[in-house]
Amino acid sequence: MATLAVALTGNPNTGKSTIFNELTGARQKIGNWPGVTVDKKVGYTRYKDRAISIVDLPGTYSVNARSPEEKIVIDYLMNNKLDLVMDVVDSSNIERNLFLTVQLLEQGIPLLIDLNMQDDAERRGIRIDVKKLEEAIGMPVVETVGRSSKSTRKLLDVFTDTVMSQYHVSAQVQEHIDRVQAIRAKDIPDSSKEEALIEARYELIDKIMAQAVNTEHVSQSVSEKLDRYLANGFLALPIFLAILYAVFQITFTWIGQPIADVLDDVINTDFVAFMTDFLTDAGVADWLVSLVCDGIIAGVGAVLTFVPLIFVLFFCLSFLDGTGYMARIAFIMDPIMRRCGLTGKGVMPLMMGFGCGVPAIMGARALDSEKDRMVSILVTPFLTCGAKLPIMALFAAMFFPDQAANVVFAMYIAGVVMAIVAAKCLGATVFRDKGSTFLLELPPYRLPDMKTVLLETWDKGKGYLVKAGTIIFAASVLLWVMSNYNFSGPCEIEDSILAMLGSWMSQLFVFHGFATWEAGAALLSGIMAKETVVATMGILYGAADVSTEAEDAIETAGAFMNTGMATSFTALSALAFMVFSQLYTPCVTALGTIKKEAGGWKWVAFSAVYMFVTAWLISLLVYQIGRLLGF
Amino acid sequence: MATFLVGALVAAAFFFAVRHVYRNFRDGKEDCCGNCSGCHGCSAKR
Amino acid sequence: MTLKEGKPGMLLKVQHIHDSELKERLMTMGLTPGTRVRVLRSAPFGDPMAIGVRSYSLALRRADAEKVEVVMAS
Repeated sequence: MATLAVALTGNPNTGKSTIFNELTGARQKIGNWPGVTVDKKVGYTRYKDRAISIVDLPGTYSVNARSPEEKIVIDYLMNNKLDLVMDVVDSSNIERNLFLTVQLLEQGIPLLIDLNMQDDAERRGIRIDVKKLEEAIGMPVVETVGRSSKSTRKLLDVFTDTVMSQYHVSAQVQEHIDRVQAIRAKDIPDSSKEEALIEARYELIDKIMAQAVNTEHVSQSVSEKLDRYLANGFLALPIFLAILYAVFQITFTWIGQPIADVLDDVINTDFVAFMTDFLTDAGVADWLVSLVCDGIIAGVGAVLTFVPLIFVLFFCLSFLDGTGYMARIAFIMDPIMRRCGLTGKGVMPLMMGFGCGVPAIMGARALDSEKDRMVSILVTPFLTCGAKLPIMALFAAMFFPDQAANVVFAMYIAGVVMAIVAAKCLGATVFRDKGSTFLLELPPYRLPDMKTVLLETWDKGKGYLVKAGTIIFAASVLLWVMSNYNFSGPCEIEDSILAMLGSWMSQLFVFHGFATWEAGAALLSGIMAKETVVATMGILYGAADVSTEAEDAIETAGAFMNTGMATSFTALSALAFMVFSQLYTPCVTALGTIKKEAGGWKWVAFSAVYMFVTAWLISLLVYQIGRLLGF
Repeated sequence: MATFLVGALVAAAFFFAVRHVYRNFRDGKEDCCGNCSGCHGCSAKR
Repeated sequence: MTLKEGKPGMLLKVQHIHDSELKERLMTMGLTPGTRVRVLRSAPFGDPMAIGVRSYSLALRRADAEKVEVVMAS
């Protein structure tokens, strides 16, 4: 039998992705829709000897084809031969969810309607009569409760048993469709047409609601009670800060860092020692042993050590996202963000910027106005992305061992403050006189589906692993060559090409306290990818060469402790270096994304230069003021 | 012999790594964490 | 009155939305004439505000809420 082609559609926050993940598990392919950078998710499964392919369409409130997502949904549904289109509806929010349903029915797309999270709705006292709903619309209706294997099996049963051609829209829906066509044919401006259509749709929905849904005994939801604390007035802000702080404690103190320490130990001492012995015994030439151990393992290893931190952080962010709290952050931060020339919704792409600047810059697309979008794109790279995190973690652990988590937290805050200040300045100068709006659904709080959270964590974190194996690997080889050779052949590291470039770069930091060629070289390489700052440090200071006798000092970055690095910086100059790395020119990938999203090299040059200058000034201030204060 | 073997291995890995980076650059792709499809936040769009 | 003047706990009924950038989106999100709206709460500094409409919560800024003409619902 041919593969059963299923497409999932529905509003955002309906648990659609959870259903998709439950149905297909890890058998997913994530690609791009042609021409746009919106994820295309296709999953496969088998049930009762039937192969089933499932496409997870982007969640949208309507299909007016105004955003790329809406266009994708309607184009895909109109142009593909599908056996089944399932419209996932959040039962406790059925009224507004039916808007999309009605719009799709108008296009002549037969739908299987999935009343998801039935249990939530029932608890709130929203009673939906499935039989009556089927009659009112004329399409099959199935009930599910989000994550449960029973629901999954039930859906698969329905997928394989339902023959959509047996269903026809009810008389009242047909009447509505005729009315829609009449409105479209009218000779009135497009905007009035659109408004008349929206009103007609909600009239039909009101009718359907009256026939099939009983909302007489609706009680206040749990979300409503929670929001009295989490999203109400000033109390909400300290709670938000506390939650953010908890995320950092989990990442840097409780879970992420301890695992990172173990990994550091294994890679930078045990593995290096093993490889050195192994290669030397096998008779490999000394220069190659050095390339592998001091170049590749030191460089890639320095980056790999931080993988646990990245994964724990991404896990926390995905988890928060799954609870629905992210929308509250946007809500409570809007007053502050707006005063800074941004919008509360900008907080979400910015939070993503803690993972990686690239999706954060792309995420700015979700913002409503051109001004919000541009400002957000230009200030996002100030934030501490996952690749800058190793720099912060390394320096904090080495120079502020007792305060590591707090210093890293302070660096994150510094990035945020700088982003806000820059937004304020840009908003007041470059992008003046442009309006901004804010309209956002506050979805009900939910316990996130673990499968979804884990899949998302893996999705986001694996990019970091791929980078370690490719760009960091290549960069490590190049850096090793550049640090062991000059134009006349092999040489001491002090005479190498890298030392030359580094000392040229370091001229800029004479007043910053870190005018060493090593720091200069690290910062220069950091423009390629921020991880290489740490990789370069690893190679230059030969962290990999550290012998195992340093057991007692093996906390974080223990391997770096006995190297020249500890003496090249003072606590103050380390802080100045951290501030500089935090704020300076974004990596080439981010710059490339800025070109795509902001449109033009002009903005690339602008962000590269203004960020470098900002970083230079702030870092200078930190060092000089610190000295005045006697540190 | 061992030098040749390890050298070839490193060279091949280096080649594939550079090719990957080049292809990313050519196709305008990046390895960082996918994009925001999983984010329920940025949903109230136009 | 307009939705902008709404205080937490008020139950209001949408009369009309003045022309604005957001008009169509507000309507798509369920704010059509005749719809009942409950003002839920507001963010720090009193803006944006959260309203309950068609059994879900929607947040909007007061500047945009000013475009929504409402009357007290009984």
